[in-house]
Amino acid sequence: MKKSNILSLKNVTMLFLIFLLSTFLLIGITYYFSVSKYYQEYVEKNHGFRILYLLLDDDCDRGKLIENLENSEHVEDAFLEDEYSTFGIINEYQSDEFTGEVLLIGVDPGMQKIIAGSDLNDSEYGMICPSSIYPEIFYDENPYDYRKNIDISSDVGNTLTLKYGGIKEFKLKLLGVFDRSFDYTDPNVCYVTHKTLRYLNDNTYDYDISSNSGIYVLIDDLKNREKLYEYKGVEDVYLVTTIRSDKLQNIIFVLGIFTTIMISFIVVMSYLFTNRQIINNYRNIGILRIVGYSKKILKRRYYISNIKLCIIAITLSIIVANCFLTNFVEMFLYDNPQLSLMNMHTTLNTVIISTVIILMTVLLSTYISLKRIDNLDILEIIND
Amino acid sequence: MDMVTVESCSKSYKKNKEVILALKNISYSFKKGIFYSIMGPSGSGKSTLINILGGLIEPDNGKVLYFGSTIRGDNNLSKLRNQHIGMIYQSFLLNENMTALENVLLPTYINHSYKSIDNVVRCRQILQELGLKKRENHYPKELSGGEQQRVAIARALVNNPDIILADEPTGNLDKKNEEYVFKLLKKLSTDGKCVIVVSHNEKILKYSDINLELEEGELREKK
Ligand SMILES: Nc1ncnc2c1ncn2[C@@H]1O[C@H](COP(=O)(O)OP(=O)(O)OP(=O)(O)O)[C@@H](O)[C@H]1O
Ligand SMILES: [Mg+2]
Repeated sequence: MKKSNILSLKNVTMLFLIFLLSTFLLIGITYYFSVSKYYQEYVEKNHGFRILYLLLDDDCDRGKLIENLENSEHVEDAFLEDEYSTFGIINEYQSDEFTGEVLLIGVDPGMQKIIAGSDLNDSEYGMICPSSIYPEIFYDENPYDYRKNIDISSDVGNTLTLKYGGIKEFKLKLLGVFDRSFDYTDPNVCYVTHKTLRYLNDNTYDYDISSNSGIYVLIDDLKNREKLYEYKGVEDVYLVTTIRSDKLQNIIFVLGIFTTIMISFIVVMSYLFTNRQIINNYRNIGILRIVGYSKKILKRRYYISNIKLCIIAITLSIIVANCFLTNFVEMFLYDNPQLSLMNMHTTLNTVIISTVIILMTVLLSTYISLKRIDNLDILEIIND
Repeated sequence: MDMVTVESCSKSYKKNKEVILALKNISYSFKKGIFYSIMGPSGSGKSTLINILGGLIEPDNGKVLYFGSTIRGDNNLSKLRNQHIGMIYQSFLLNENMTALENVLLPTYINHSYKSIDNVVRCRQILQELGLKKRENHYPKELSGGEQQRVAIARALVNNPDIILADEPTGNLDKKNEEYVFKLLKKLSTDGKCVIVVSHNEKILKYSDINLELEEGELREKK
């Protein structure tokens, strides 16, 4: 009893279980916090999230509506659906093999990993392109064969000629390139600000205002979204860019289930563990009672030894969890451009939260199993 | 001087809806310097009484007074047991994983550090007085019944208690050790301790000052 061996097999098993739970909680909570924080910043930073699509009546006067919208204090910009994205050809890269056609999207590239150059800014006309673009003929054959692509990162900072809509030539500066080595879903997508796109459009097309096109609106704050319904002809309002949170939701769901299972498991295990310790020591505990140890002192020993186990396990788990988290992004999130920029570390908060959960779990089950000491039958021990 | 007094104490056990009344409204005062023997048939509640006196079992009704006052709560009762009561049992109740010396040191761990030299010296001295000097570092398994009981007695004496409670201390001993234990208990009572011994053994009557009889839960003095 006095010389309880911290390295006994049962202790090691228990230690390992608590360690697993702790590591798991640390990673889970860190993940949850980092990702939510990241998304929050992401949404705040990117005006792409403030773009709304207005579905309109067929008879709505689109020209007038745009005018009205632009006069609203909450609307920063309004433009027709057709203006939102159009194809262009980057002349510099045009050849027999490559038509050079790219999709221009009038939104901020958001959290794409910019690997060279700079981010978009509203004041100049420029674009951000993927680090490599795909020759169309090869793309049709095998879009995943990245060896056949054309590296354009050496042109960062240069002014490129863009044949917009295949009609008119514009000079656009290649502000930056983003890493697309991990993302094959949207080949040849370049980003410009919507102001740039508008400038390009205004100087290229005569719009048929009476078309069926909807309207895009850049609103000052998503909270004012409802106000858009007040305009005549607006049938519905949609968010254009939503956070890709399905993955996050799935992971949080799985984490939640796992955590619940683990916590129940630890409650049961640590109950059984302490219970067994008491049963195995029943006679010796009786002896200690006889020589004058109070229930309080005896219980305190079990609490202390379980807390010690927790502290060792938590310390180990902090080390392991941090090692794991440093590589976490590369292992699990790298294929998600929205998340791949994130760096994750356990913070004091995460450690405190998971420590509290673990201590509560272990202390609760210890408390329950220590009821056995209250009910210790001294005559049973004497007559054994 | 009253060392320990039971006042209208009763104790019953419930088992499968059946209520066994172990002690019926017992009142008695145990005094300093006297060797009490308690005899009685099996199941008459002797062990129950001894453990109530030792504060290990709470009576259903009535009071137990130590040195004239009631002591309440497990913490206080445990402290009292540790400082003022020595308990000895038939089955010795030694910790099998500890040596004789460590077993004797056990009551001193609570307040003092395990390594307190004073305690170790005192324990050794008591063991020596009981003829166990060479057995100090033996485990209970390696000791004879008589030696084990002497270790248990040494443990009971280590904090120099005022009250000695023994439940059939000679039940597992041969004649020679029996006599040794009774003589030792007698000596303790003449030294001024209150010694209360439960026994089936008639020989105890040779040593005891007052003989008590517990029958069907009732305690009587026997002449
Ligand atoms: N935990 C218990 N549950 C139910 N009955 C009990 C319990 N402990 C003791 N008893 C009963 O209480 C009565 C008194 O028990 P106790 O052990 O005090 O007797 P005893 O006089 O010491 O007997 P013995 O001489 O055999 O040791 C017995 O009938 C016993 O069966
Ligand atoms: Mg008995």
